[in-house]
Order: sequence, then C-alpha cells, then structure tokens
Amino acid sequence: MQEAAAGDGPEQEAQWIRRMAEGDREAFERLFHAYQRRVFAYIWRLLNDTPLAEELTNDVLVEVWKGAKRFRGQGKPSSWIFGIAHHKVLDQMRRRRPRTAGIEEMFRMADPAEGPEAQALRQDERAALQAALARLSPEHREVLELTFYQGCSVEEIARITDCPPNTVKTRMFYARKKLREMLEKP
Amino acid sequence: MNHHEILEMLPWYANASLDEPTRRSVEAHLRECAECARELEEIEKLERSMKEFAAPVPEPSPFLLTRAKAAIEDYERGRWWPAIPSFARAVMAAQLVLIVALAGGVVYLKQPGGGFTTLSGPTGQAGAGPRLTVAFQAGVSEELARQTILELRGTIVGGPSALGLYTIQLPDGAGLGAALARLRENQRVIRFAQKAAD
Repeated sequence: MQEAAAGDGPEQEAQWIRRMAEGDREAFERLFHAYQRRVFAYIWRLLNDTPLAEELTNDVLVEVWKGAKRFRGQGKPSSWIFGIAHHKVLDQMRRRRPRTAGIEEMFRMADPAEGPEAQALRQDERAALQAALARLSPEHREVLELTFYQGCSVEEIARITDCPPNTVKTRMFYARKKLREMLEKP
Repeated sequence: MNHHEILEMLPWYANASLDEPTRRSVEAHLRECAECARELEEIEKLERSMKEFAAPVPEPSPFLLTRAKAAIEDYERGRWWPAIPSFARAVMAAQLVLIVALAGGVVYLKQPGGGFTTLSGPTGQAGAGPRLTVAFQAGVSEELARQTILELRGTIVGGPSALGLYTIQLPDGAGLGAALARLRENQRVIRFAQKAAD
C-alpha cells in the first residue's frame, strides 16, 4: 500500500502486532502513528464526516489491539486493519446516508495562485468529479478509494471487503463506467 | 493472460500493485494493444484527477491517541477476570461463597436477643443474691457512688426514696455480712447500709 509511514513494512507491522498481543503499549503507539491518518482518510472519504471518521478510526485501532492475539500473519497487516475499517464503515452506512461534499468545501479547495479563469475551470472540473464520486454506490467508491488512494492490490481489496477478486474487478469496471457516464453528461 | 484479463487488471498496473510476472505480462501486452494503451491512459487520468481534485482530508484530532489509549486501559481493566487461569477462578469463587456464608452466619447469630444494649445496663438479676438498703453521704459524686457499688458487683434496683435510700442487689452467692461490713467501713461515701427488708 502506498501511504505507509516510511520504513514500516509489513514485517515490522506484524512484529508490532505480535508485541501488542503481549500487552506492549509502545508497539501500539507505533502502529497507531503508522495508521491513524491512513485509516482516518479512508473512512473520511467514504463517510465525509470528520467527527465520525475520528470516532471510527479510534474504534478500528482499539479493535486491532483487542484482536492482536488473533492475527496470525495470514495476510498483510494493512489488509487486516483496513478490513476492520471496512466493516465499521459498512455498519455506519447501514445506519445513515453518507453526507456528500458541501459546495463550501469545494470552493475552499481553490488554489489562490491560479488566475480567475483557470481557477474557475479547475473548480468546474473539481466540482464535477466530486459530485460524480459522491453519487457512486459505497462499494464502487470504496474500490476506487482502496485502489487509487491506498494503493491496494486486487487480492488485498478482496480480503478487506470480504469478496472474491473477480467481484473487485467487476466493481472497478462499473465504478469507472458510471463515473465516465456522469462526467460526459453536459 | 488474455486481452480481457489484462484489461481488467489495468487499474492495478496503474497503482503499481501487481506482482512482477503479471506486471511483465501487462507491459508486453500494452506494447501491442492500442485499446489497452488508451484504456490505461484514461485510468491514469482518472487517478491523477482523483488525487488532485479530491477534497483534502482534514487532520484528525491530535487527541486520538490519548482517546485510544484510554479505551485500551478500560478494556484491559475489564478483562482481568477472564485472564486468570480457570482453576484459580474456581478457588476465588469458592472463597467468595465461603466469605458470604460466614458473614450471613454472623448476622444471623447476632439477631435474637442481645442485638443492642441500653445505656441503663442490665435490668434485674434473676436468681440474684441478697439486697441492701444504702444511703450515700451528702455531696458524694455519682462516680464515687457508682465505683463503690461496682466493687461489690451490685446493681441499683430501687431508689432513691424520699429519704435518699437506694436498694442494691448483690450477685448470687455474695456474702451479705462481708458486703455490709465493707460498706460501713467506707464512711466517706456511705452514710447508712443495712439488709433490705424482704
């Protein structure tokens, strides 16, 4: 996965988890620092709610502590951790509809160094892409998120989302198809 | 891998997560297949756009770690019982049952009769010894009078009368003569002492 903290490979992470299983708080802190932003970003992009994303990030990492003894190194630690996050997000989605990005948030992203015309054009593109992403189903958004933001492989996504690799590929195909259709519409 | 399989794998070629043999197969196919090359361009454009135009992720609270550590400590405190070996748990449970049973027994035994004591002390002396009639010297303190009676192991059971007389009950087996002699010697406290009328 792409956003891992520098130098923290799967081996190192698996070692932290083994130490956590023995009650090592320092190992937990290290894993927490390596993952809190990644897990938070993943949840935030799917739910678009900062306090809720913080709460769930916390829940996920505490769950990792609780389940450290069960981790047998059968996959990458990141797949296991994002798998826990995936289930937390699904639970939330069942309870509420995700909030789509507000218009104020989109304007806040404008780059002040650009000229007004370029800025307007980019803002149009940005708004269109964000609107299209927000209209995708959670499964389609998630496969894009895990592929392009988290850098996951097909197998990792399959493990995280608890579905066969072929389903991951199919979801990616339809996610891109729908995005293309939405972005091509005038 | 055929054309269709490679087409499906292109997003993961773009994010560089393919294993080495698959990546080489895709690259070889891309050199020959214009459709896949175009598709890859589209995917890379989408990836760039998503990274460039996506709403910036806010920074999570700096207190997240503190919260997580507190949650962990709560969890660890709550699981001390399951962490104890099962035989030790059985011993502890048996001890607890024993303590509760003993406490219950103590409470039960204290219930009938003597559950409390009045400040006036025991009343009456069933099967007690002889009774005396006593008058104290004027101005004798309550403490001195009490001490004198207690030395005889007696109890005031009557009085004071209009004349300032008290009836003292001596314990069973106490000698009347010895008690009277002792009282009469103590003239600093006792003004008058004799056997009480039956």
